[in-house]
Amino acid sequence: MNTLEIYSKLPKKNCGECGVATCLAFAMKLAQKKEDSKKCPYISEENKKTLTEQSTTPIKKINIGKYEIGDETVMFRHEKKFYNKPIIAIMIEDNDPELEQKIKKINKTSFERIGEKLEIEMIAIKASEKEKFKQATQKIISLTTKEIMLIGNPEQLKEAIMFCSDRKPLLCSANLSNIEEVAGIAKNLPIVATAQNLEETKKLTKALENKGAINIIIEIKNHNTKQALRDLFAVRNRAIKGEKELGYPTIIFTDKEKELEEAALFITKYAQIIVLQEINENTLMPLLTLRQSIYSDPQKPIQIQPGIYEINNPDKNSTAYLTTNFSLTYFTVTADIQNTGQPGHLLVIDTEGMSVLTALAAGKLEIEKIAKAIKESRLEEKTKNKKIIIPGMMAALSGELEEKTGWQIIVGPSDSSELSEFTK
Amino acid sequence: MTEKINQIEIGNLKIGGDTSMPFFEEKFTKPAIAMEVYDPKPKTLPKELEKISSNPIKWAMYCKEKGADIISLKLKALREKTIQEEAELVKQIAEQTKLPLIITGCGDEEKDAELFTKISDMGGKFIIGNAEQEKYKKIAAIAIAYNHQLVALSNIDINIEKQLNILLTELGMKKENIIIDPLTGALGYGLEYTYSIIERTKLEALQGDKMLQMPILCDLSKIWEIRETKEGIQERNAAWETTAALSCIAAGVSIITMRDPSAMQKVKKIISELQ
Repeated sequence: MNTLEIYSKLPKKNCGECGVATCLAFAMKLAQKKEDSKKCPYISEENKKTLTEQSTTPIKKINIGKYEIGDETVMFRHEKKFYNKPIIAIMIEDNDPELEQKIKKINKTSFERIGEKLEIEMIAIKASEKEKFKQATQKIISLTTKEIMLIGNPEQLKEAIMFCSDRKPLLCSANLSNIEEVAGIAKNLPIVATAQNLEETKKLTKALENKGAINIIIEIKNHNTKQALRDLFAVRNRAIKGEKELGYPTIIFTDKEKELEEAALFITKYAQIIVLQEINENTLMPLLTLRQSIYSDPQKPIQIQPGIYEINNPDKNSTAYLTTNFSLTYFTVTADIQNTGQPGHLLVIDTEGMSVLTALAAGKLEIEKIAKAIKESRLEEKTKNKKIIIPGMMAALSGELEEKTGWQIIVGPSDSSELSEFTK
Repeated sequence: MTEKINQIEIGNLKIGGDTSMPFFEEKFTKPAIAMEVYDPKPKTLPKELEKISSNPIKWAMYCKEKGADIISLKLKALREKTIQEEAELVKQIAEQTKLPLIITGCGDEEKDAELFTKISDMGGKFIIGNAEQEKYKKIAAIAIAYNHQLVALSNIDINIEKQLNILLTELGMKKENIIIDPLTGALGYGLEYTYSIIERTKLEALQGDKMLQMPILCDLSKIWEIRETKEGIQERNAAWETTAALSCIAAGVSIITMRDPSAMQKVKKIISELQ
């Protein structure tokens, strides 16, 4: 809706009670999605509903415990960004004899990367029968603080919820034949909507909304990888084109025979909850890294924290290096220093995430600034000799830098990949 | 008329020819897998290649056995071996594997030009690489003279990617003989930059930009230079490469260059299921 269309739905009183002076100005802000039509005390219910609908993102935002998923607007990350990273869940059957060990393993599975903790967010408990399901749920919630998904028929779900409603579990699932029952049990809890195909899915989501069950996750059935990707693509595409009944986050269960391959594809292409079965650190580490990468903001270069980074356990005799805080630069240079086989102190300077070349061109690598960074980092206390290797591209600054800092400035190679040769 | 990615023939293979982004309306153009063979062998290798990689010919035959579509031959030994020796090696590998070859040299423009001329004189059609913005004239001249296909390498910059294609075609290179290598950052070290460049390139190509309609090659070798793979955990290294390969497939590349045979087989299997 454009500004005038929105304005036509407003009371036109110019009362200012919404916090904006005139209705026209308010309409402009609504068009930019910078305001909420609920702030208008005089708008009719019907118009409020119309305006709320037009302001929501194509893929609805849904809260799953402490996480948010959905709120997506584009087909390709470079058009804007992908906003909320998908939740990774591990499915465990309620009669699994290794249940406790698996939960403990999941709890421990965690990697740090670019200052972010990469881990599994959710445990999905699959019901075999009511009693077992209850026991397993109780056991699991006592062992972990991860988010919970309950997979079972309405009767089983009803029992299990009694023990964990405060954990706000995701309920799996509602279908066309049990809408009323599941909606009644769920109340405000998020629900997985399962249907045979996308047309049936639309009927289901509409019916659920009518029953007041508005926190919906669409299940993409995985008959085979090809069909799954087709449907993931279709939901995103059609939601963006305006099919509101498909405007929800998607959940998909991977095929145990090819979990790694499918998870990599689904992370990249439009799945908001991905359910795995294997707890394998060797496959989880690259998958979680991929998730972090794809869901990073393409408009912003990832920056890392400026400061001193120690590589290969350096001591006072080790070489000192200098570089910028563009993450790609940092990772490349770190890897190259590691490849020299020798320890080193790497001083990372804040260039607002620009690479050496860009920072030089943009004037972010001024002598004063570098000198200050060296001083404030107290690199002097970490090294015996005041010697530092600077990137070859910064050669022009070396003389002045030496004068200003009193450090011996060694001009390194123009590409850090040559550091192995250089440091021999 | 629908715009599409150029379709090119590499030996008996046809690559490219995509008329849409991957998975749109279930369309998917099958990428080919190239397996790396180095001379001399690199530092980080999957365990199963440790012994065999001392002999490039045996390594290439092993890759063929495992199902490689193409061999990506990386000749870095030009400081130690003679041009004649390297050219002989290429001839042997071509004859024994009967697979299409992508051949890249040591990066020294003069030496590489000599090498490619020698190889070309022995007969046969190859994909040679790399042409770069700062050094493309010598290699392009050889590609044009012998009608080889050429890999055009840029550094994760779509403007340079396009500029290089313009420079090459102005020099006389047929646009149908160019393959784009956008430089693939390792997973965890910038892969996502490459990923988005690929999607942008394909979208522009499918909207009619003739200077971006070349098929795209993802060389995953940077994965083997990072801290995570140097730790040598076999299963994790293979998973790292598989994950990276699949994200490139999702972006819509036409050739993926890999090192680990077990990862390659997993990727090939999924590709066949996506068709």
